[in-house]
Amino acid sequence: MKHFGTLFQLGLKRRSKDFFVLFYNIIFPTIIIVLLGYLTSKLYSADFTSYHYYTIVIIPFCSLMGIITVSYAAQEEKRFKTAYRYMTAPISKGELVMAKFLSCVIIFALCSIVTLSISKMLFNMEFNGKFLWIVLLLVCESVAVTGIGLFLGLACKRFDILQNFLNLPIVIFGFLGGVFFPVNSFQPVLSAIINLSPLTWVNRGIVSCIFDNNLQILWVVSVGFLLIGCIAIGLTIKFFKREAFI
Amino acid sequence: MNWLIVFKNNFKRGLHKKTAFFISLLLPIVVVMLGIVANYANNSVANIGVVYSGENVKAKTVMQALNDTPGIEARLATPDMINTDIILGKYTVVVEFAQDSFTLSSVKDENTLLNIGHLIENYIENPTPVNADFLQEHNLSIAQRISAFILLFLMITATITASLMIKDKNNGTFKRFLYSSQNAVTYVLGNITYNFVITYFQFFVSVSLTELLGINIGISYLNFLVIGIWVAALATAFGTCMASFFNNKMYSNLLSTCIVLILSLIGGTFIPFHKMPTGLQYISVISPWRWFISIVTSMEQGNKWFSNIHPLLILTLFVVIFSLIALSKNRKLIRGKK
Repeated sequence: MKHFGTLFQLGLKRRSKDFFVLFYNIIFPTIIIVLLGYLTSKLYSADFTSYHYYTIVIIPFCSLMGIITVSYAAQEEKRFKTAYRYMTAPISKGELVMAKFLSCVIIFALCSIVTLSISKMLFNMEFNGKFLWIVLLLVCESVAVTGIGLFLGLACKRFDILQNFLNLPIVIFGFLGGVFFPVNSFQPVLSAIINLSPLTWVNRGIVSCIFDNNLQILWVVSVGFLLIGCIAIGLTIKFFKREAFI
Repeated sequence: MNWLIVFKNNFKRGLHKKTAFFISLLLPIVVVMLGIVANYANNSVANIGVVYSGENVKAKTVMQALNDTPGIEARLATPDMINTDIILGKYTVVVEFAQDSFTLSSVKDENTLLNIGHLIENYIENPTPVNADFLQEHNLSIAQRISAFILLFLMITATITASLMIKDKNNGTFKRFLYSSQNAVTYVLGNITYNFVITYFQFFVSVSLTELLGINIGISYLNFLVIGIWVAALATAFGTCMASFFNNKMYSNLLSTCIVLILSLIGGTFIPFHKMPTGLQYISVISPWRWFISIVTSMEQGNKWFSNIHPLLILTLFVVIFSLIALSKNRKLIRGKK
């Protein structure tokens, strides 16, 4: 546990000072919400504005983008050239992975909550008393995002091929999930493709929770994220080899 | 012709890792194809949700008339998820029928609501389908949407292809290059040409497959291939420019995605230029998408290639500016190393 504590603190320090983490999870979503909100302001009503819509859809999207940041953060020992120290240090694989996992989850979840709070204040977003439920969903999403990111960065053998293309499926999921503009279709094939995007369900969960007082989707999605995160982190600990740092 | 050495060498290096090379070559084609098909299929004007209870003949008649109207689709909505479906765009508007009246729910602007309200009132009086083009007049056409999507996507993938330059900087290849008699122009030109060939190949295959599938997007095949030269040149110059700024692939990929998304938003990819707030219409001059969509619009109207030379020159200017920035950045690196 002593090693875990030290590594955990180091992880927290690094993540909280990482300009890209802060930029991509707080500044970028805020800019995009303002920009898209302003851009489409004429298309929405006065009660539910475009800023409200983009607050709901952009924050989970940027949180999902965190997979890329986490997968690179997983390999930072390579960048800092400290791989051999970790190879020889008497630290268990579980401690190494869990320290990275928890530090990333905390910082990513905090970033999402800060962005949500900024949007709440800037655009007078009403959550109808469901703010904490949305926070819960975002925390669960951070767990899944971090788990997948660490799995790709530490345990996936062909990560060198995958790393360049991680942003493509996420941007596509974003399109399908209605991140840039509402997307929906009555055509069965298109509708099925749209439903393949996790962001479709995240957005449905958030909106149905706030505006239809229906927590069912939000619960299913949150539990799903937790399960994915736990499975991914379990697989990472199982398949992780310290040589991945070299 | 020394740039040809860099160009050929990049291919050799790519082919050395065949799986990675072919995935990076073919994956964008699959995604562009999917994007084209999705944009082509998703062309309905308005989805209308209908809610009624019991045997409401009036509601059924109106629903049938709405479904018979070109560009409008009407479906029964789930009453306890109405707000969710409206906000997430499943329905543009939901009509709730009572015995003698109806109410409309939507998050759209008043004008859209008013138009749909009039249409329904009209159908209650007379359920003969009418022309509902007034709902469509401000939307982007299929050609505009598809072209803008391809440019957006290829700009992201071209940055990924250009990350070979970042690898060169990190593994010392660039340093070795400096010891030879070559210069930054040769290096950048070789990389840009390599990236251009890859990007244009992806564009060519995607567009050719679209043609083979018989998907008509409103621009002739040959015209689309010519547009591709500017698409590939712009994407390549931008990607090379981004790769010249960073020593880390993640930073380059993430930042390029950010910039591309923002530029495409203000350029009219998602909302037509004339529908944007006035302030953004002025700012949009800095976005290549605005000029690109302008060219596509002109070609859709049946104009010939160089009849709309103004936006074409501006796009070329973007290519030159991005290339010069990449060149200057690499020259600075050389000076720094010396």
